[in-house]
Amino acid sequence: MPEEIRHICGISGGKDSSALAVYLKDRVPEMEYFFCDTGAELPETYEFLTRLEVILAKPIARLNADRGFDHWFEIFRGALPSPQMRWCTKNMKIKPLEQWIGDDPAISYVAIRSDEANRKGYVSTKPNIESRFPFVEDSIDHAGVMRILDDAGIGLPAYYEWRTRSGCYFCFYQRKAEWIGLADRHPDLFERAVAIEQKVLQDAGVDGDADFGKQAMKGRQYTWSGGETLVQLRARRDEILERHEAAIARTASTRPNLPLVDSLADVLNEDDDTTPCTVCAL
Amino acid sequence: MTTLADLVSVSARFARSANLERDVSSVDPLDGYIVTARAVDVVDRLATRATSSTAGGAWSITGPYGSGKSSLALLIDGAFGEEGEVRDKALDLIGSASPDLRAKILNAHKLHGTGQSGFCLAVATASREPISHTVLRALHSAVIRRFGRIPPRTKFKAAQALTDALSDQSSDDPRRTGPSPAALLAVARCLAESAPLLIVIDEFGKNLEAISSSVDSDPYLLQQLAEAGQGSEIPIFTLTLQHLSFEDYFATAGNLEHREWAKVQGRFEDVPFADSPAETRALIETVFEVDDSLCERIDSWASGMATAMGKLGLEDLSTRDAVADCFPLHPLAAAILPELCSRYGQNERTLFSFLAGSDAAAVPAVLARQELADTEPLPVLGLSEVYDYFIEGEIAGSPGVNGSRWREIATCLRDAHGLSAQEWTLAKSIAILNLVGASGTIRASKTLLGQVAKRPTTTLRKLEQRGLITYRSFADEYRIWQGSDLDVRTLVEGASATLAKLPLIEVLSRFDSPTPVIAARHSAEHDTLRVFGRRYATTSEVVKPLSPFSEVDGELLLLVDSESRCPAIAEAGLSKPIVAALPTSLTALDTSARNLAAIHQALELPEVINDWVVRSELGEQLAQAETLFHEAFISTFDPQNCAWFLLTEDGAEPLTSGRGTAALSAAADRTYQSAPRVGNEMINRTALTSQGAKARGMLLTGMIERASEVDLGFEGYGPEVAMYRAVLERTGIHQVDSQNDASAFSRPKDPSLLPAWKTMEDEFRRSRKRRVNLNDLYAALMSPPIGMKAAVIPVVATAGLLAFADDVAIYEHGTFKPLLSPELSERMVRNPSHFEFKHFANTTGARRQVIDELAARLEVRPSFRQHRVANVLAIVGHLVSQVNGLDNYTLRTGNLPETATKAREALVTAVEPDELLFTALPKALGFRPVPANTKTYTKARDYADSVGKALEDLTGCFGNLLGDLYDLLLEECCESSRTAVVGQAAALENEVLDPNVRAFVFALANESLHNDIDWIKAIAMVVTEKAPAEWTDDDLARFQRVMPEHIAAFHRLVALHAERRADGGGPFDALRVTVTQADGSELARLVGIDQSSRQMLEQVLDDALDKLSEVTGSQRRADHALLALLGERMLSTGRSEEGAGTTEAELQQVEEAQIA
Repeated sequence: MPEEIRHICGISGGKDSSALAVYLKDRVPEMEYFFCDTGAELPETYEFLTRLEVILAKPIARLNADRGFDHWFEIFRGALPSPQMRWCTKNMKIKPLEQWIGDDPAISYVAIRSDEANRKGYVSTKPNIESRFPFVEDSIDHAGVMRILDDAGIGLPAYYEWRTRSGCYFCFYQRKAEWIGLADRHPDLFERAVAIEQKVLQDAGVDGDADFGKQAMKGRQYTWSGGETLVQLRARRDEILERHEAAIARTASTRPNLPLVDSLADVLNEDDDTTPCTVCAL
Repeated sequence: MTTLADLVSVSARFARSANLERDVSSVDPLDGYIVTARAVDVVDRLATRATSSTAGGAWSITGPYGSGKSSLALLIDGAFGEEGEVRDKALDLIGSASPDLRAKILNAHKLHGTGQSGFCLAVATASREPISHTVLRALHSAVIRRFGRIPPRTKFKAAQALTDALSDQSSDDPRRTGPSPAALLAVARCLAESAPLLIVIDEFGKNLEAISSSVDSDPYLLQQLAEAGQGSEIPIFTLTLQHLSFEDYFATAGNLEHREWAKVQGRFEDVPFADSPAETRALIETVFEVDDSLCERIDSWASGMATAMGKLGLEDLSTRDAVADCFPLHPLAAAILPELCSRYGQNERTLFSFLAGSDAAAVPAVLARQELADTEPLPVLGLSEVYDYFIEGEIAGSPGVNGSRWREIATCLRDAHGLSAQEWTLAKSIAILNLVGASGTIRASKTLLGQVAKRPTTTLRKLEQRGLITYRSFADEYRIWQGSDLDVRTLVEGASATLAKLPLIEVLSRFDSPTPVIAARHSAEHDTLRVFGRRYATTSEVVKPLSPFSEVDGELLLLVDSESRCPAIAEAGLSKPIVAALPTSLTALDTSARNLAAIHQALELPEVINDWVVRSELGEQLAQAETLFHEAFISTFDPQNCAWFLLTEDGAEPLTSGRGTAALSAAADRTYQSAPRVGNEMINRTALTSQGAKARGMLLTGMIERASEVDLGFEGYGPEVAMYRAVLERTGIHQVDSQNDASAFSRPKDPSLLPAWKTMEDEFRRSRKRRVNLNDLYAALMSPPIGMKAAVIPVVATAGLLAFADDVAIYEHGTFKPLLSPELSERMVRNPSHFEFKHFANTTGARRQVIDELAARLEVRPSFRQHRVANVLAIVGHLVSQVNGLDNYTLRTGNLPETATKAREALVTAVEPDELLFTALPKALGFRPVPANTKTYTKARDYADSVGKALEDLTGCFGNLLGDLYDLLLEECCESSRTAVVGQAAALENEVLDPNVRAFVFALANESLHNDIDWIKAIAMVVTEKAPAEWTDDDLARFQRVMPEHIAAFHRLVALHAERRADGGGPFDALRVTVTQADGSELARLVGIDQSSRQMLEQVLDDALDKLSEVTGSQRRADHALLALLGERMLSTGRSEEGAGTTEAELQQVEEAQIA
């Protein structure tokens, strides 16, 4: 007897993957939805997921709900994840997913839109997982995605007002202006990020009495945002926002009538060009 | 005046090197040729092949420059050539070395009928040209040698091929590619028909270089030649001479070429050609011819010298004859020459140009200058003459790898001025000895230099004072000293002086600590590795006990202050053992340590850091000093040379020392008396391997998740299973409970583990009063007398926590954790200090009563079966898990009974389980706290009821909300069921709708939701843009306000839709069709039919009914059948998942109604 093929659709908390989930709701009735929970997502994301579950009328499987960021931060004894040492993605996204799928043959639906067909999503290298790109196949672009979400009545996750991507509240791929956004909207979470950073700095011997030489500096990041601590970053709030506003104005003048979501993305992309973690953001 | 040259002559043969093409067929070059063992070997291979088969062979002779390969080729040419003077000479030479070989060659000539004419000899020296050119030249020369000129075709079949090949080669036409391999082979075969063909190519490396540097090279010709000789019974012998093996010429070429050449080389038999130093020395002896008149003097000189050489350990030169043969060379010069030539020159070529060359510094010229008086001692050429030739004459132009040392020494002596003759002799001798090598018997030692000059001590001291040489006492060797402004000895002495003031312990503290040692016997006997760290100490120190978390199991103090007592120990308690070793003598250690430290210190001086000469000298001294220190360390702390004591609070207890680490084993025996036996080396250690950590992780997960299963559900023989068997199964910690047939954790049966388990129980009991950090438990288990290995503890501690799960609460970072989960365990293993535990068992009196009531009311059972009654943790665990399952609405809403709200507050903010159960929760629900020390609590049942009621209010809150929302919606729609609303909305689905209501209508029309709850959730979410589970009371109010507006808009749309239809095409009927299934679920549709199409549709229906009546036999049956089948189809499209099971019987009612 041939093995049952599983159909899976990963949800990041962002608009594209959510739209894909809605889009496939009736097309692939046996679909299993999953969300790799880091335990450190924005409250907006959790709220949005509940909305999505209502529409899908199915629970979204929360992978590694037991081992979130706090767990791994304890296990890694205070090393911040960073682009060079991205243990967050490995331990909280890829490993739990591959464990969840196991060796079952599965078709994974990936939310790459037809207008960004060159983008790379997380395409599993495991031989039992086949990837499909329904938006590319059915020519659904940015406008199509927005329409799907509007029709379903769920709209956009609330964080799109100040941030372009889903993911942990302290994601190190965040831009400076987004950190300020976090400080403004979720001062409590910002303080937690500061606390985590301070702990790492202290363990590493900065402002502490630990032997700095004994801490392996190689590949370790001691601050969330490049070149400064969050406290320093917050002190530059006005400067960062000023630059940010100027950038928005500049974008607006070059590309009029752009929805806020897009102009924000443009502006923030101008800010830096690090490639974000596609696993989290798609 | 007589010179040595008058009485000693040098054989002319050695005056120049051989050239194969020039010297062929001439006797002179063979004059004085020495047939060495190597040469015999090569010639023998050739002769053996020529006598044993009719085929030929191929050899590649590989030997270094100047090892006499070309001369060998001349010898072969002579021996296998035509009859005459040259062959006789060659055969005589060969016969002198090996008469058998001579006979063999003659036999070969006889066999092939070449006694007169000899073999066809094709001899050529290669230059940087294609192989074919060289081979052609060789073959051409063979033809000329045999026939005098190229003979006509009638006499020589391949004449045309040869002529063509020659014209091809000399042609300037770029289209011609030179002689073709086929033509050359034809010529070779043709020659071999008359007599065996011997092709000898000298300097074959040149050909190979040409090939490796050009693209269109083809090794194939060579392969063909070799094969032509080997397989086909044609006697073609090919001999190539080169100084590297074929492959080495292609070291830089691509892989493919490399393989190709390896293949060609495979066709050749590779013969290495190099003489050993002894053979080379034998050659030296044959160079000189000494006049008989000198023999007597030589003998007397030699016998004295032989004794001296014997004393120096030069066995080869310890006989009179051996020394005499060296004359006029000093035996030491003869001894080093082969090594010197092969290291810095071109082997024998260099050797013989020194012995017989025309250079002013070469032997013949020196002999000519050397006066010979009858009375004086016999003059000989010593090391300094060798130096003059090799270094001053700069004979070794490219000394290669050893060049830097060579230049260093040369520069050093060149810059020296004003030395006396004796000083020069000694300096040069030392220099040349330094070059040949510092080790072994031939080195510039004091004794050896005594043979170079008479009474050299004073001179050597002078040279040393001039800074030209330096003496290394540790190696007994003089070295040419490159000179530095710094005086090494002063530097080291200065450092020593500063160190002298320091106590030995401070000197030793500059070195790395001694490595830890293992108490071998104890470790083997107890299956547990006991490692002792070692450090230097003094008696004045007050020794601090080791931390229980220290990586070592004990400490060995090496006392280094010559006091014969032990240091005191500060509050030892249950500390790991500390052993002291008191050495009987510290002298050797002291001296060697101070010397080593002085060199270290000197090396760190700023002036030394910049002076590489001094640095390298100190570096070598350092290596020597380290060895000495190491030896001193070992003998000082040898078990027999020390007194051993175990330090305790009551003073030092002597330990018996045997061999090795016996004292440490004795200390471990006394200290670790209650150590558990864990028969698994993978886990019984301080730090796990990554493999071991993985296995232990699996074991811990199994313990937590499958405690009740036999063997924890493990199968097979993996490392986790082995750990399970060793730590849990064999010890009886995990076993089947005979009462209820399930496995569980409990006190071990193994007596060796019992003390550890009891210690853990003590720690648990200790935590009744206040929380205890998990590290305290670790410390207790790691300390004596248990000394459990760190990696085992998590397993034992987890077993304990599981065995006492209902009694012992776990806190992480101060927060109560109701459940020991695998992920919690992972963090616990990693950071035990983040965890605490507290014991809650044995509740009695009033509290017991309350717990029993709560357990009954909430239906809580103890988590482990061996506990008959529930306790605080079981109840609190149940409450916490219920609260954790609540949605955000329930956690935030004020629409709850007051008691439920207060209970929620208490549950959410609780930190301590007993505090919650006996104080906070009673207060919240309006009861008195339950005191710890009273017998009864009269309101126990009421309190339990109240808790149960509050919990039900909380867990039912969200469901109630949704039910209310559902009723509210239906009421607003004036409908009694979801189906009716869905039907109305579904009719609007294909209409163009305002985006504001669009999502709402879609939500109303959503049929795919399986129940009323999901349906209302989606609608509520669309209305408030927030999932109800995330609502606050404000969201509820907003829903109540906005929903009626949405419904009103929806109703207007429905009406508008109907009107618009009617307006568009005259009379219009709207039909509502409802199909009800057996289970009561319904499917409803609004269907609009306008008058214009009605007529046509009815016509089609009539036709269909007519046809159906024909089949069914009655109009009435046809009507029913049509309805039933249509209904079935509607059901199957509307509910695809249920459609398959629908039958006519299930279709109960079809209702038709007109909507106003």
